Amino acid sequence: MRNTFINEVHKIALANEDICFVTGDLGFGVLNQMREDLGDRFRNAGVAEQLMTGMAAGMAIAGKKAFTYSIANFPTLRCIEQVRNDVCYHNLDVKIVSVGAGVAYGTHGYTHFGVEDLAMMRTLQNIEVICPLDPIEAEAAARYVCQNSGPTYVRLGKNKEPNIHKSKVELKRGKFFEHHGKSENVVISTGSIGLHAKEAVDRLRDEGYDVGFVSAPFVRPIDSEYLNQDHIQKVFTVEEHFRRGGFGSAVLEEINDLKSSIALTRFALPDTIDIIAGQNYLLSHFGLDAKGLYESIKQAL
Amino acid sequence: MSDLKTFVKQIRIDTLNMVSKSGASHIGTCLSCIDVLGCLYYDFMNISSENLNDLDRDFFIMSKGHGSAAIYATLANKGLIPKSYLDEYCCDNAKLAGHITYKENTGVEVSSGSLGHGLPIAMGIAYASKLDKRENKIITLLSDGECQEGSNWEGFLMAPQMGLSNLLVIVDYNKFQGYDKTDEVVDFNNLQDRFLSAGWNAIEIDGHNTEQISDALLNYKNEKSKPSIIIANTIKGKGVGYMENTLEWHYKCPNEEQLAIAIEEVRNS
Repeated sequence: MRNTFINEVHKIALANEDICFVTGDLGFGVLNQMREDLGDRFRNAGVAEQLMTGMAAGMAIAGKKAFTYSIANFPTLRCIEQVRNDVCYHNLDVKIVSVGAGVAYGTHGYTHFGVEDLAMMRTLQNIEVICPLDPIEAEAAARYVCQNSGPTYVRLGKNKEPNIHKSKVELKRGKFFEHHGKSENVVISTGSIGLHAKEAVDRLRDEGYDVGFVSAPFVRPIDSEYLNQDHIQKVFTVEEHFRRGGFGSAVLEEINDLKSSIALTRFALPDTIDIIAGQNYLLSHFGLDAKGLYESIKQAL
Repeated sequence: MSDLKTFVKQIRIDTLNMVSKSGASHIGTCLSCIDVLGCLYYDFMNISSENLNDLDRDFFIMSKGHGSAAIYATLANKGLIPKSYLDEYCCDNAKLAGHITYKENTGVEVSSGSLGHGLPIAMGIAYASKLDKRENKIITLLSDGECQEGSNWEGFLMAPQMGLSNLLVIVDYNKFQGYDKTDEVVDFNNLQDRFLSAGWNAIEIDGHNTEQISDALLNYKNEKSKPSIIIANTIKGKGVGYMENTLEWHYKCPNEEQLAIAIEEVRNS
């Protein structure tokens, strides 16, 4: 989904001279063609995330639509105050793009994980938070952020994720996608971990359970209208993020505000990650792969 | 508009009144940079109520946001914000906050207060201006203590590489920071050398001598390849004898009697 998103932004930027792209020294083999085509509109800020984000804010003040780009934790927590003060407080047209959501960087280790970013970013004022499910949602996210002004955080997985959607979609602000029509019980997932959640749901449906899969490209704003439906009994949220403060927490807050009677179960990473392993191993270890989710959800149904 | 000396004097008086009336802090840091602000806004910068929203206006970013009263008073004397705003400075529901806060159509470009933010923002504006081939000036004012922030060094290292000759950084080197004398925390006596070796057009001046300030601004205006930095040697609390070179007037607020003495001294200077 990373390449799909970048290719779409690249394509749009060729026609929109206001788009600038600032990377935090990341992009080998991924951004090369865009860099060549955008010329001076592309800039490597170096290993300097505060500078990258502050400069993007300045560019937006001077009329540009500026992207920042780096690995999970770096364009977000490493420079959280520049995101908070410079970008969000001034409501500027800056698109913060991270790659390697959750534990995608695997054996690179915890320093390269994005497991607190949703909690941090979704509390900031004026910001929208987008986590695409698959390359189709990522491509739609690129179009969405290029068409809309204001601060946005786009949290991408890595590369080579399969498509879950069957055809092209367009994002609507704060809207989820239902993949199976109406169900009493739904698994709502944000980001590329939805691949596992969808597989778990498909198995359960094959066994005759009434359960549907919903992807949530928007963590903020959250789809309040969707959650405010009387027929929904049980919701299972799935995310590649710490359990506290992330997508499941956002759904929990919304359900509470709606005074809804939905029974919510949140699947997320535990408070501590103390093993070194690749992404698939970690997700399996924490019960967040298709098999683990299938077993847990089956039990809860 | 009045002559430069009267302009600067009135900014000092307005600032003293604002801080005293509101019970706010930071009068010392305001007074140290007012001569620089006065020179910038008197006739150097291309900014007026007519071009406030034009991208080719000159930009000034007050990175030392705690000097807000000084820049608000400057903008008011320039006619960019109503003088009545100054009377409510730092009051409940005021239009002007204790750390400079963005407000449309006032000439305040960005909110600051957390230090180390102004330079990267100014660099982004300067870079975009270069991309669009505008000839405007992008200026940011930093405190000396603020130069300890790592984000500034990210910018100090990168600005020459980016060829931002339209960028001017002014350091208000008033020798005091929040809890100590600046040079006792980090010795900045060799600041000019550090910037020269990093590829900047760096000059050091007396930040209260308006001729030196004007010459330095002209030097920046004529620079065609490097970013410029002016290290302005200033006196914390400048213009009010009992405030000068003291740490306490970073925080204290003059009472009515002290205010009268201060204004009298500024008037007679």
